[in-house]
Amino acid sequence: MLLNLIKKELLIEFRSKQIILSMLIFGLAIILIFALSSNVSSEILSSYSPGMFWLMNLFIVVLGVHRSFAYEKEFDAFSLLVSAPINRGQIFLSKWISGFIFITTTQLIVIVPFFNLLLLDIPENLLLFILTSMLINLGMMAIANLVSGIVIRSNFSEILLPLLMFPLLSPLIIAATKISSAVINAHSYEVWNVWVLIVVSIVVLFGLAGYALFDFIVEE
Amino acid sequence: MLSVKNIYKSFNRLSILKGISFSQNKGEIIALMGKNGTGKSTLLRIIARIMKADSGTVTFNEKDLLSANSKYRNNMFYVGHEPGLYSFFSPIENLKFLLKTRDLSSKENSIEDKLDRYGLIDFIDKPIAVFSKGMLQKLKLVQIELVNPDLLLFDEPYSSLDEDGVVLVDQLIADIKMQNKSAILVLHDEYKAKKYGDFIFKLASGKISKKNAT
Repeated sequence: MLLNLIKKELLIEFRSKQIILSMLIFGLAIILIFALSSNVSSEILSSYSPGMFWLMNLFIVVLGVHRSFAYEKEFDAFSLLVSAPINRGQIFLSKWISGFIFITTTQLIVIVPFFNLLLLDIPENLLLFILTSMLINLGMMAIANLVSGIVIRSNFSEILLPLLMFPLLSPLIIAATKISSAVINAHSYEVWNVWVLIVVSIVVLFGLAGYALFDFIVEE
Repeated sequence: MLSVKNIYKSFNRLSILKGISFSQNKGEIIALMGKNGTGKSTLLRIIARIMKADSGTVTFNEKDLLSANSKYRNNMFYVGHEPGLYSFFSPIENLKFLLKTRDLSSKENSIEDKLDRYGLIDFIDKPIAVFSKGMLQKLKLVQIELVNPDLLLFDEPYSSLDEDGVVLVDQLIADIKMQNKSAILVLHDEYKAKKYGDFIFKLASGKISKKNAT
């Protein structure tokens, strides 16, 4: 069943192209604003760049996750899904996995303009940068989908989503900034492994919470 | 078969359902009636476990429907005001997905036959976003035929339909009766309620009253 649910998420996105496209456009717009407005030395810009990168991701995740649940509200498809004899935890897992695919795809596209437009050097260990970013994406999507599940039935979901999500995402964004900064500056793993442990804990905690609680939180 | 006991539900301290209790045996059709805002849709959504009741129990075939075990909802199908489908999918994609969520298999030919019967075959590959309300209502009827549940919860089956559509709903309800299956239908037409319902349940001021349809 999980595979069918993931396939459904990917097929809707393949048809509509609304999630990745909106995240891409918004992400590029933020990069352009950063690039055109920053008037500081390359050293300062370089030290701030991991924070800017994850700030951009924070905003585009809200956009992507909101869109992903907006499909469900249209024609009340979500009611059909939650009233079906399927484990509702799997609905959360499908949203989590598909969301992870969407944000990672978007990041892989925007990463080049991000470093180029901000006149930054591409990290020497680009593969490690991408792998750590993927781990952080898992955490972001677990939190984002759990919160979206809570607010989907509300008429004010557009307002509630960032209001509830930003405080929960803050520790993750701080850890993400520390990790990306360490990877860009090629620090040894011992220096930043504690941040990786924090991210792994968030992934496990919110992943399990989402799977276990989705059954109850999605009811009106 | 279905037993609803002491269901309470309120929205923003406004009590909508005040201790609703009733039971339904296999093969019975209940026509649920009442004025707008009396809680008919709310009651159906609670039974389908889309909405949370403040208190009360719902059992279906002796199983607690409000528990976390999703399999207990296996032979029950809720059809609400909206079609419960994905706007970017075509009818056939939506129907295939619906069947997958219920572990049911149906050949493509059989789905096409049903779409043809309901006059939707020309739109088989169009996204349902372009469908009119009446077409979406007919698509709900196709869903019901494919799922063929033991208990159907259908909110306003005659809504937005043309004359042909009304006949199709009549046939569908007649089929349900013939197959000895059960249904709770939210109806506004007293004549239809008397014709198809074994019992008429009226909701008013949060309470339910029962009377025989004949």
